[in-house]
Amino acid sequence: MNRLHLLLLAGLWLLCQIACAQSDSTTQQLWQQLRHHPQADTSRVNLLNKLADYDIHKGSISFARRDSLAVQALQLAQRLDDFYGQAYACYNLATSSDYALKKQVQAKLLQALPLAERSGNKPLLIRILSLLAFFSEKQGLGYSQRAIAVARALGSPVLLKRSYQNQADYFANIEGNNYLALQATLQELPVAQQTHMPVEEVDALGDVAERYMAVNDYPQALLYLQQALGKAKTLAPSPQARYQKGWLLYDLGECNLLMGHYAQAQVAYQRALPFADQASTIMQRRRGLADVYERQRNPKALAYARQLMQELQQPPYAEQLWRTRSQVCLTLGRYYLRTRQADSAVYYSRYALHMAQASTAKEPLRDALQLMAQAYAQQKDYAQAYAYQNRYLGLKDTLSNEQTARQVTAIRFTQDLARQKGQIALLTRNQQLQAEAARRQRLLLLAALAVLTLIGGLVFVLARNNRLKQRANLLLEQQKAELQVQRDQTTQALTDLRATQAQLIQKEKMASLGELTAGIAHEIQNPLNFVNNFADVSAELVAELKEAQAAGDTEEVVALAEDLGQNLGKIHQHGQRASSIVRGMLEHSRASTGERQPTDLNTLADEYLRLAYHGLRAKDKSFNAELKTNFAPGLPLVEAVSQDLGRVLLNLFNNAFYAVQLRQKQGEPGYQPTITVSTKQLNQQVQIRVADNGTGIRDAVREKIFQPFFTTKPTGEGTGLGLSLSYDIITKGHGGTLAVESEAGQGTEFIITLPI
Amino acid sequence: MKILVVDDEVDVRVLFEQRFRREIRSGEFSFSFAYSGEEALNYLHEHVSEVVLILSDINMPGMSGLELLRHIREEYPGPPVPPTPQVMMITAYGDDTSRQQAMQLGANDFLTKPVDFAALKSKLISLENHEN
Repeated sequence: MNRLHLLLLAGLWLLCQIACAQSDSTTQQLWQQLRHHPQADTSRVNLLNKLADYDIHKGSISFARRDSLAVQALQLAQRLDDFYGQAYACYNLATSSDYALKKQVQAKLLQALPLAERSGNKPLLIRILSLLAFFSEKQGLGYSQRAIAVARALGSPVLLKRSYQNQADYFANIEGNNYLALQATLQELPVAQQTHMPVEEVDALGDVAERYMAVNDYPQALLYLQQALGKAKTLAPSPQARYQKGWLLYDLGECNLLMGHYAQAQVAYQRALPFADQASTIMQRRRGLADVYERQRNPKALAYARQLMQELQQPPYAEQLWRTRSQVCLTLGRYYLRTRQADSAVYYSRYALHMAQASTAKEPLRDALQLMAQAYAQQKDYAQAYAYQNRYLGLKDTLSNEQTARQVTAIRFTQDLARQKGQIALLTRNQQLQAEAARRQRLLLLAALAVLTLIGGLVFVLARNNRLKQRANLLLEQQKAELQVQRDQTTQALTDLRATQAQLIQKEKMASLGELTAGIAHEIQNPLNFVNNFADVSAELVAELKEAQAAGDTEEVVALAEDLGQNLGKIHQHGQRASSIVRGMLEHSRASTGERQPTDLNTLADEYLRLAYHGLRAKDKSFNAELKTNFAPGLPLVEAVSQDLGRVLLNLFNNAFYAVQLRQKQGEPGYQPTITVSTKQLNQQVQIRVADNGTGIRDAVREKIFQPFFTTKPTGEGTGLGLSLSYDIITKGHGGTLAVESEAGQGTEFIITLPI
Repeated sequence: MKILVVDDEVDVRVLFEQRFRREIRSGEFSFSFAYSGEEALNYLHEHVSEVVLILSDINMPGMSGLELLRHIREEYPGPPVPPTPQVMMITAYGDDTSRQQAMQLGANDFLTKPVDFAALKSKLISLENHEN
C-alpha cells in the first residue's frame, strides 16, 4: 500500500533497480553519447527516449525538459517510421504528464499502444499496458490482463511477476478491493520464485505480507514478513536490497503495532530507521515509533511526537505527507486523552481529522472521528461527542460494508477465473481428443499395413501348402484309420457311461434307503418295546389270575382276564405295526417289479411321511416339525407301482424336511417348521400335494431341479438324481405329472397328479 | 409317591398301570400321564408340589423331552423355594451324546428302551426310601 507512489512514478520500476545509484553517471554518459551522435537515425531516437525515461527517477531534469526530449524523439521516429521509437516516445510523454490529468495520460498511452504492438517489442508493450491499467478506470482490468497474457506468452518470469504486481496495485488502488489484490499477489509469488532472483522473491514476499495486512490478516502477514526478511539476509549489498530491507522492517513494525505487540513494533521501527534514505520514509518510520511510545505509555512519547509534528509542519513537508501528519496528530490526541487533558485532545483530534480529510486514506479519518468523540465526551460536551460518535460509527459501517462488498466481488472474480480455467481445460481436452483421433488413424493405417503383410504371407504359405498336398493325402489315409480306432473307443466309452448311469441310479435308491434305515429302527423299536412289555406283564397277570382263582376271588379273576385280553390285543396291534414297517422297507429295497397294483395313496403317503420324519430325527435329534395330513376320505385306489411311488414320496418328503431344517437353522424367531401332505380327487385324476414352509426355491434354480445330477445340497450330501428319477417315475412310469410351485423364502409345494 | 410319565405313545399308560398295579393299589405309587412336553408342563404348573418324579421320553413331536427337561430346570431351580422334581429320561436312542446332553441339562437318570421294568421298579423304590 505504500508502494503505489513508486509504481505510479515509474509505471513499472523495471529500471529502478539499475537506476538509483548509477543513474547520475548513466545520464551523463547518455548526454555525452547524444552530443556525439547528431545523425538523425534510430540510435538517436533511442538515446533521446532513454534520457527522457531515466530522468524520471532522479528528477534531475525538469518535466518540461523531459517533455521536449520525448517530443524530439517522437518527431524523429515518425520521420524514420520507427514504431518502437514512436511508442517509447509516446510512453515517455505520458509519464512526464501531470498524473492528475488522467485523460491526457490515457490519451498518450492509447497513442503508444498500437505503435508498440506494431513494433513487436513486448517489454515496452507490457509497460504501456500496465500503466494504462491505472488510467482507464474499471477498463483497467482488461489492460492489466493483457499485460499478463503478453508476459506469459513471452515466457519471461520477471515481466510476468511485475504484471501480476501491477494488477494487484490496480485492484487495491483503482478498484479499492484488497481481496482481489491479495489474490493477484498470491499469483505473483510463485512466478517470482521462478525467476530464481532473490531480489524478486523478497519483493513478492513483502507484497504478499502487505496485502494480508490490508485485509487485516496480521498473523498471516507476519509469517510472510519473517519469510521475506529471512530471504533478504541472503541478498548481496545493494541500494535495492537496502531499500527492500527498510520497507520490510517498517512493515514488520506496522504489523506488530496493529497486533498489539508494541515492544516488537518498537524494535522493528528502530531497525527500519537507518535504512531510510529519503526524508519522507524517515518521517514515516519515526511516526511509527511515536505511536508505539504512546501506546506503551513511554514518558518520552509526548516530546517525541511533538518534535515530529514540528518538523512536519515545516518545509518540505508542509503540504505533503498528509497521512503521516494525521497519524502523528492522532498519537498526540491519544496522549492527551489518556492524560485527561480534554482540550488538547479535542484540538489534536480535530487537526488529525483535517489532515485525514486531505489524504485519501479512510482509516485515519475513522480513527480521528473516534478520537473526537472520545475527547468531547471527556470534555463533557455530550452533544458533540454524540455527533462524532455517530459519524464514526457510520464510517466504520461503510468501511465494513465495503469490506463485505469487496469480499463478494473477490469471490465472484475467483469463480469467473475458475470458469475460464474450465473452458481452457475443455479446449485442451478437445485438442487431446483430436490428437487421440489422429493417433488412432495412424494406428489404423499401421494395422491395415500389418494385415496386408499377413495376407501376403498367407498367400505364400498357401502356395507352399498346395505343393505339400500330395504328401498330405497320404497322411490322410493314415489318419482315417486312426479315426476309426478312436470312434470304436468312443462307442465303448458311451457304453461304459450308460452302465455307470444305471449304477448311479441304483446308488440313489440305496442312498434313500440309507436315509430310511435310522427311521425304521426307531419305528420298530417302539412297537417291539410294547410287544415285549405287554407279554411280560401278561405273564405276571396269568400268575396273579391263578392265585385269585385259587383264592376264589371271582371278581379279581374277571378283571385280570379282561386285562389279559386287552394286552393280547395290544401285542397284536404293535406286532402288526412292526411288520408293516418291515414290509415297507423290503418293498422299497426290492428292485421294482414294474407291476402296477391297486394302491391306497393315503396309507402309502402316511407310512413314508413317518419314515422320512423319523429318519431325519435319528440324525438330528434337536429337529422337530409339525406334520399335517389332510387325506381325502374314500380316495379311489390307483393302479401304481407302489415301490416306485413310495420312492417318489420319500424323495419329496426328504427334500421338504431338508428345506424346513435349513430355514430353521437361519434362526428366524417364531418359525415353526411345517410339512403338509394332502390328497384329493379331481375328475379322473388323483392329486397328492407335498407342501413345506422351508427356504423355497429361487426361479433360476427351479428350472433345473428336474435335471439329472443337479443338486443344491453341499457336495457329498445329495446325488442330484432324486427329483430327476421321481419325474421319470411319475411321467413315464405312471402317465402322470409332477409340478412344482415355490417362492423363495416362503416354501415349496410339489404336486403329483396321477390318472385313475 | 407321585410320578408323572411323559410319552407320545398312548399305550404307555396301560403298560405302566399294569406293571405297577400292586404299588398303585397299595397307594405306594400314583401315576399321572402326559402325551406331550407341553401337556407335561401344564400339568406341572398345577401340581408341582405333588410330583416327585418325572419319567419322560425324549423323542416326541413338538416339544422334545430334552426341551421339557430344560424348562423344568429353569422354572423349578430347586431348594430353598420351589421344590424340584427328579427327572429320568427314556429314549430309544441310547447313544452317548443324548445321555451327556440329558445329564448336562440336569437329568437324574437316563434309561433306554425297551424299558426294563424290574430295574425301574427297584430304582423307584430306592428313591422312595430315600425320600422318606
